[in-house]
Parts: sequence; structure tokens; C-alpha cells
Amino acid sequence: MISPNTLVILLGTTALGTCCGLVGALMLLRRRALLADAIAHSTLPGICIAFLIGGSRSLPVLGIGALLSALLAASLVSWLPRVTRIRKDAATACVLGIMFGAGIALVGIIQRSGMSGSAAGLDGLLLGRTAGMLRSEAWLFGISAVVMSLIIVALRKELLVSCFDPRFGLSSKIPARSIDLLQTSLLAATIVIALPAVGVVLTAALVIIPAAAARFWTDRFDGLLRTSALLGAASGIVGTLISSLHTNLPAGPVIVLSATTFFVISLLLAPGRGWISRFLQKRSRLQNRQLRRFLDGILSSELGGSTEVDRQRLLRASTAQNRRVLSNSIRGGWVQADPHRIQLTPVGRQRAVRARKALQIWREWLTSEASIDRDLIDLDEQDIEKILPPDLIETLQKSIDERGTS
Amino acid sequence: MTTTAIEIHDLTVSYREKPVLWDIDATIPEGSLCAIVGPNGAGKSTLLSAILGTIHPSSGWLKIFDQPLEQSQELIGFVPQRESVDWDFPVDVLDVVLMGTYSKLGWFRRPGKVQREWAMECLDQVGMADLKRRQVGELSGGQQQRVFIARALAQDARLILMDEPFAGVDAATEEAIRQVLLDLKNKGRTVVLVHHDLQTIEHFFDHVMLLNLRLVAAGPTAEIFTRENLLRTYGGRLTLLDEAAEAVRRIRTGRSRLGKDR
Amino acid sequence: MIDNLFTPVGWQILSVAACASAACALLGAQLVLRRRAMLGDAIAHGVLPGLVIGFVLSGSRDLFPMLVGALIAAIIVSILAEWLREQAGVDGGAALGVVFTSLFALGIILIEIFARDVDLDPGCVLYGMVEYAPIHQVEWFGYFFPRSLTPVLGALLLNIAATVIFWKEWKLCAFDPQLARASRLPFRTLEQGLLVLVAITSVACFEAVGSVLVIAMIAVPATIGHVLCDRMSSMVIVSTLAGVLAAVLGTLGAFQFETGVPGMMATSAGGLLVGAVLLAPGRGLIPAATRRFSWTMRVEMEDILAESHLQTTATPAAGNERPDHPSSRFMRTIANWLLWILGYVRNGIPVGRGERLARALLKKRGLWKRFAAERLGLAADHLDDPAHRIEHHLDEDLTRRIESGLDTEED
Repeated sequence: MISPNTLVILLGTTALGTCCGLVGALMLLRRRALLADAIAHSTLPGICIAFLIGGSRSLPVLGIGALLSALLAASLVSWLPRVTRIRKDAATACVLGIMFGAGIALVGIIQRSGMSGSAAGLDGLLLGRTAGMLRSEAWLFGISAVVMSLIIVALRKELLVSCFDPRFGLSSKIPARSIDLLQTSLLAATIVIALPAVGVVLTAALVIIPAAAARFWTDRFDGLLRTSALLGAASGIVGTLISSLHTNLPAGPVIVLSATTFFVISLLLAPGRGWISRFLQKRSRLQNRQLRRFLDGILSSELGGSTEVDRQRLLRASTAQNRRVLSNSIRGGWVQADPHRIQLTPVGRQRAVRARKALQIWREWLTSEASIDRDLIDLDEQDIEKILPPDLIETLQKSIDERGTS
Repeated sequence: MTTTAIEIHDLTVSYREKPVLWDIDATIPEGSLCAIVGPNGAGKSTLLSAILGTIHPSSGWLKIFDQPLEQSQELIGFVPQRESVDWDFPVDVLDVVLMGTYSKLGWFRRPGKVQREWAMECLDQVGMADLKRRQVGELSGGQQQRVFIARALAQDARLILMDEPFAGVDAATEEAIRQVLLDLKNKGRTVVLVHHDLQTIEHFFDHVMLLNLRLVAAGPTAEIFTRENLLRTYGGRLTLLDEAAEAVRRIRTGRSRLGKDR
Repeated sequence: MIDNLFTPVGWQILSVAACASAACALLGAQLVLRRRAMLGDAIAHGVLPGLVIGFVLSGSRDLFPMLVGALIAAIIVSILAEWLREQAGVDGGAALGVVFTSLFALGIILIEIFARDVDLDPGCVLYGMVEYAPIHQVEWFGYFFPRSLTPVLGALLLNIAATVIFWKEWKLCAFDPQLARASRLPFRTLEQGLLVLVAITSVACFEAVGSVLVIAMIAVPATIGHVLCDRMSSMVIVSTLAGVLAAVLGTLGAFQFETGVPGMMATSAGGLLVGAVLLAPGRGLIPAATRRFSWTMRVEMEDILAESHLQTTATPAAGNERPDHPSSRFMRTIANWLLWILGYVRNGIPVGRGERLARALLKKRGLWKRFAAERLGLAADHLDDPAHRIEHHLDEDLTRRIESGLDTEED
């Protein structure tokens, strides 16, 4: 079913996807995702000049031109904000617009100077032409992608430092400047390799999207690199297969849309950071909180002497939110209510007392440690009792009691 | 009798599901000078944003002058943290102060002569009238701070929030800000500000809120500003803070004595 | 070559190009101030599927359906990117990148799918057809105008109107979003409105000048304005003028090199930006370098004069040795040459004005040391170093004030 030609292209795009995923992860961590877009657009003038000088469409010549102008663009984007009041975003947009515009102008010059036959290929670079990938080109892409992936894997320690804290890298033994240059060169090289296959705009997509999708699955550097490479490769495979089945679909955009599909899936379904899971977490936490406050409120007024709470009074002082909490807690069996009064059930009372005690202890502990670790705050009583060792709870309880009596 | 300027009930604010403020209940009476005190990362600026209504709490509510925040049309004066301002922005000093008059102007109207004079008056109060044509980035840190105070004055609001107005300013600016604060207090305005210098709180502010993610204590300075409460706010680090303050004092006095001897 | 512009063809191309770039520059100024310059790029790319769908559904080249489609796409770009950033915690740049590149890919696929039914060339979206402006014409009031002038001029007028009407609101939103929201301004509506205008402008300019130009003209002239100006009003005006100037230069360049107008416009805008970065009064790279150089020269020259003066008049007194400046030997050599050329030093001895300068500097040095010791209470061993630095900064007025201050102290 898969022709040998498709197989070669498949290998090429898979390697390409892997490489883009790896580089993209690095760029995402340095918050430079859009740099990929600027660099991709900026290769055009380099390609044109290489074509004018070299006079041929041979990939290595054009590739060197593209690489040089990509590096020029990257260094301009990082240099301008340092020496002028131009900000990073404006520098990126300006470099992109100017260099792409210059490239378009050069394409026009080439087309009108009688070389139009061979210049048609330059036009193709804008949108890519995976289907027409030659066997030799596919091998070239594949091998370069593998080499670059190996470089990234070999230098992962240095890259981690420079991604996480560029200034720390500067102070430690790691030569931050050369690592920075290396990263930019890797990005530029990746983009240059990907250009003929997917075109100017979509190269940036291949760099940005898999990394952004991978971010939903992991918090770790290695995990991010791995997931991002995997998603990039998967997009390459899926996209190439789909476009080989439907001949009228160009492979580049299909690869990008497969990556987007992976992104959407990750966005929604990833455990922990995915939208659905976070939405559920948030809701249950909010409900727990409200219930806890509500039960605590009733408990306070019961301890204050009244054995039951006037339902009307409670409702008057409350919002729609409170009313929902009330019905929830009635359904959960924590309180019983008749038209006029609300009363804690024994279970409800037990829960309220337990929650109050746990919170008290927790606050005491936070106070004594003054810990402001945000992960450790706003916990339920079960969590609190789990986290603190029993003997610590006892000590804390003692100190609370002492303060209460003194 | 005093009315309440701000009433905070059961306020929890989360940033990406992690609480930054937790279960805050407090009231600030009208006409008071209230300092919000706490260690770095305690959520002080977040609390100001919540009062301004620029972030949505994940639970709880706020009332400004007995009006729920969402419905309140009350103007709130605001002095942002210096770091959060874009100093390369092409505006001059007078422009910034005039921004304070925008919300009373309404749509389509430009600030006119009346607003200009009013803005100059406010600039004069902080001693910055001479520099009205400077671009804001060309000012010193203290002058920048004073421009924003003048803008808050130009807003002419009953409630004014300031995010660390005393951070990193020179002595002249500090004095100017103090004077402005006292004036505002005499006019019965409510001023809430994030403050760092524990030494000056007792003498200057009549209200404090001690904050460390949760509210440690809030109320009149005399009752609340105790060593025990501070310990509870800063935890074990207060001793460190004490030591640092003591060391600084020793250096200062030592130096001035040296100066006199010679 | 200039006379190319004064032909009817030249005029018509130029009018379309200038209106388009002025319209983009006006909005660009707002975007640059909000640090969202890349939004122009994102919207210019992201509207593609909207254009195609509008085109396919209406089956015609009418502007209106394409405009509606593109508008919807642009709004989707901005809302989705915002939502991804705020709700899903994706990095801002990456969020924008994901959305617009995906939409662009979708657009290309749509073009391929409908390629048989419609005649829409991706290249036409990229480069526009400003060169054909003189071919399609409409008649207004008895005069003939290029047809593509209509949407571009419309966008320009719309942007001018919006900039004037929402001037102070947009200014506040850009400068201090927190206060804008707290002043009960409809912050979101205002910002979304800006994005809608960016979308309208992109689409109106597409047919005339192509998306390349929209990207460049949103970012570059506004950045020129930002580099050159200190007030928002002048920045907006300078940005617009820079846009128009780029259009003129670009049209000329296109005639000269026989290539497309949009590309040349972007290139000439780039040239203007380089000029602004290098020459901006006060903070341009060249003025700043000159200032730094002349300051270093002054310090070096004064130091050399003072040193040689001391050596010739007396044995160097303690505390007058030159501290180890981190200045380069190169600068020192140049300073020596300069002193010789100016005739301040002959045979290593300060003469004439050189001598007077040396005396003045030494006097300031002594004065400052006394001032620092008596008034600031600095320890003796801390005096020399600051004195060697501060002496160069004391002008006549300050010197006199310090002098009189010290005198009154003694009285």
C-alpha cells in the first residue's frame, strides 16, 4: 500500500518532526517561540542572494544562504532590544517584515531578469512541496535531523542550564554565550532543513506546536524534550500518510494540522495540566472549600449557643452561591433543614469539627514555619492529617490549647 | 462613627489553581491610613489588584463603600509598583497626571484647560511642576514615584491604593509622599498602601493588615502591630530582619559619629 | 527616476501604497506600545482561511464576504490566543504561534481543496496586486481612481477616526492597563476593538498590497516612531509619515529595480529603521557612541594634563596619583595626539589653555576632597577615588556653589 517513494518521504518527515520538536522545546522554554517564525521568514533573502551568486538551485548552496540570513535575523532580534528601546516583540516583527519583504523584492528581481524558469523553485519555498521531495533530499533531511537530535541529546545538561536561567549559566563555568549561539544555530539549521518540505510559514508551526502540546504532559526538562520530539515525529508520520492517501492535499499543511490536532488533544485531555482535568479539580476544590466554610459557619453559631440556625437569616445574607452550597450539603447528608431552620447532622458536625481542628493545626504549623509554599495551602482536612506526622499534630494542638487557656 | 471603605469577605484568589490569597476577611474604615505588611510573595499586590477589581477572586466578595465591587462606580486612585510601569512609553509627566482625569471626563472629551490646571496643581503638591515636559523615563526613581502619586491625586478619589510607594526613593520624595499622605488623611480620604519598612509603621499608619497568604491580623495599629503578630507574619525570619535592622542602625550611627569626630 | 512617480501610473500605485502603509502604521503604533507587534504578523497569516471561506461561499471576488470571513478568523486568532495564554497556561508567544500557523495551514488546505472551483492564488494574498492598480479603475466625481484605492482609503479613514476618538482611552489602556480596568473603562472591548481594526486593515490591504506588507508596515514604521519620539502624539504622526515615506521610496525602488512594490516598500522601511536606530537624536547608536567617546576623551585629556602639570611644577603630592582607571591604552594614545594637535601640550608640558585646564581640574579635585571630608564625613582613605571621578563632572556653577558653601561653613 505504501510505495517506496512514500516510505522515503515518511522517513524524512519523521526525522524532521523529531528535530523540530526538540528545537521547539528549547525555544519554548526560553520563551522565544515566535523567533522561529521570524527566522523562517528571514531565510528568503539569503536564499535569493545565494541563488543570484551561485546561479543554481542546488540545495546546499541555497541552504548556506538561508542559514546565514537566518543567523543574521536571530542576532538582530537579540541585539536590538539590548542597545535600543525597541522591545523584543517589535524587534521580532520588524526583522521578520523587513527581511521577508526584501526577500520578496529579490524574488521579483530574479523573476524579471529572465531566470524565471529556475526561479519557480524559489517560489515553492514559500509553501513547501513535500510530495515532490526527491529521494536524495529526503535522505539529506533525515540525516541532518538525526545529527541535530544527537547534538541536543549530547548537550542536554548545558542546554538545560541556559534555558532555565541564562544568567546562572553566565556565572557558572558553562559558556553561556556559545550555548546561546549554539541554540540559535540549531534553530536556524532546523528551519533551513524544513523549509523545502513545508515552506516558510509552516516551518515555524512545526517548531512551535509540538513543543506547546508537550508542555501539557510534563513538568520536566527531559520529559518535555522527549514528548515534544515524539509529538513532532507523530505529526510527520500522520501528516505524510494522510496526504499520500489524498493526492490533492499538500503534505506540509496536513502535517501542521496533525500537530494541531495533537495539541488540541493534549490541551483537553492531558492529566494534571489538561483543561478538563484542571476544570474538574478546580470545581471540586471550590465545592469542598465552600462546603467547609459553610459547615464551619453553622458550627460556630451552634457553639455560640443556638442549637440551630435560622434558615431565613442565612439565606438573606447569602448569594446564589450559598444557596447552592446549602442544597449540596443537604444532599450530602451533612445538614438537615426544614423551611425555617438548618441544623448539622451528626455526621456533618463530625466533619465540621474535624475540619476546624485540622485547619487550626495547619495554620499553627504554617505560622511556626511561616512557610509560604503555595502547594501546601488550601488543603482539605484529610490532606492535612496525611501530611503532618501525628506527634507534630499533638505538639501543635498543645500549643493551641495553651494559647487558648492563657 | 466611621463607615467602612473596604469590606473583604472570605476572599481567596488563585493564580493557576494555586492560592495567592487565602480566606481573607477584613474591613478598612473610611478615612484611615492603612498599611499592608508582609514578606515577599505574601500576596500584597494581589490584594490591591483584587480591590481594584482587575483580578477575579476564586471565591469570596469585596465591597467598596458598601457597594459590591462589580456594581460599584466608585473611582479608585491607584499608584502602581515602579517595576510594572513601561518607562519607555512616549508620554511626558503632565500626560501621566492628566490620565488621572480621564475617567471623570467620559468618552470623546479631551482634557482641557480646567483639567490641565488641576493636573498642574497636583504636580505642584508633590513638587514636580517644573518637570512637566519631561518624558517619564528621564526622571529619577523618586521623581517617577511622585508623578504617579500626583496622578492618584488628580483622580480625586475617595479611596487610593498605592503599591510600595516608598520602595527605593530618595529622602526628598519620601518626605513629599508623607506630606501627601497626611493631607489626604486630613481630607478624610482612605489610603491603603503596601509597605515594607516596619520601623515607620507605628508612627505613621493608623491601620495595619498583616498578610502572609492568609490574613494574620488586621486592625488599628496600636492593637495589631505587636511583636507576636509580626512573628506570626514573618515567622522565624523576623529575627533575621531584626538583626539586619540593628546592624544597619549600628552602621549609620557609627558613621555619623565618625563624621562628628573629624 | 523620480519622474516615474509623476506619471499617472506612478501616482495611482503610490496613492494605494501610501494609504495602505499609513493605515497599517497608525494601528502599528498602538500595537508596538502594547508590546504586541507580532499580532500584526499573526493576524495577517491567520485570516487566510476566513478569506478563502468567504470567497468560496460567495463565489465572487467581492471584497465584502472575504472581509467578513477574514474578520471572523482574526477575532478567532486573538480570542483563542488570549484564552490559551490565560486559561490553559500556554506561553504567550507560543499560544499566538500555535493559533495562527494552524489557521494558515488550514487556509492553504482549503485553497487546495477548492482550487478547482475558485481562482485564488496564495501568491496573490502574499504579494497583492498593487502593480495592477492602474488597470482596474473606478470613476469618482469625474476622475478615475484605482479600484483598490477604495478599501485601503476606507481603512485609513477608519483608523484615523478611531485613533482620534479613542485617543485617551487607548493611551491609558496601553500605558497602565490596571488603572484602565479600575477606571471602569470597557478595557476588553477597547482592546478587542483594536484587534478588529487590525483585522479590517489587514484584509483591506491584502488585495492592494499583500500580507507581506501588512506585517512589515504594522511593525516597522511604528518602531521608527517609538525610537524617535517621546510623546505619543508625535510618535503616531512620525509613524504615519514613516509609513508614507516608505511607500514613496518603495514605489521608486520598484520602478528602479523592476520588482514588486510591496517588497521594496518593506525594504525601504527597513532602511528607514536602520537610519532611525543609528541616528535618533540623543539615543541613536551613533550619537550615543560619539557622546561616550568624547566624554572618555575629555576625561583622558584632563587627566593627562593634570598629571603632567603636577610633574612639571612639583613632586607629586600624596593622593594625587592617578587611580587605576580601566581605560584603554588606545584611548590614552588618541587623547595624547589630540592634546598635541590642539596645542595644549608641548614637549610633555601643558602650555597655554592646557595649563589653565590642568590648574582648574586640580583646584576642583582639592575642593571636592575638602567638601567630601568636611560636609559628607567621608574617611580620608575614601577620598581620592571619588575625587578622581567627580572632578570631571563639576561644572563652573557647581564649583562656585561648593566653594561658597565651604566658605560660609568657615565663617
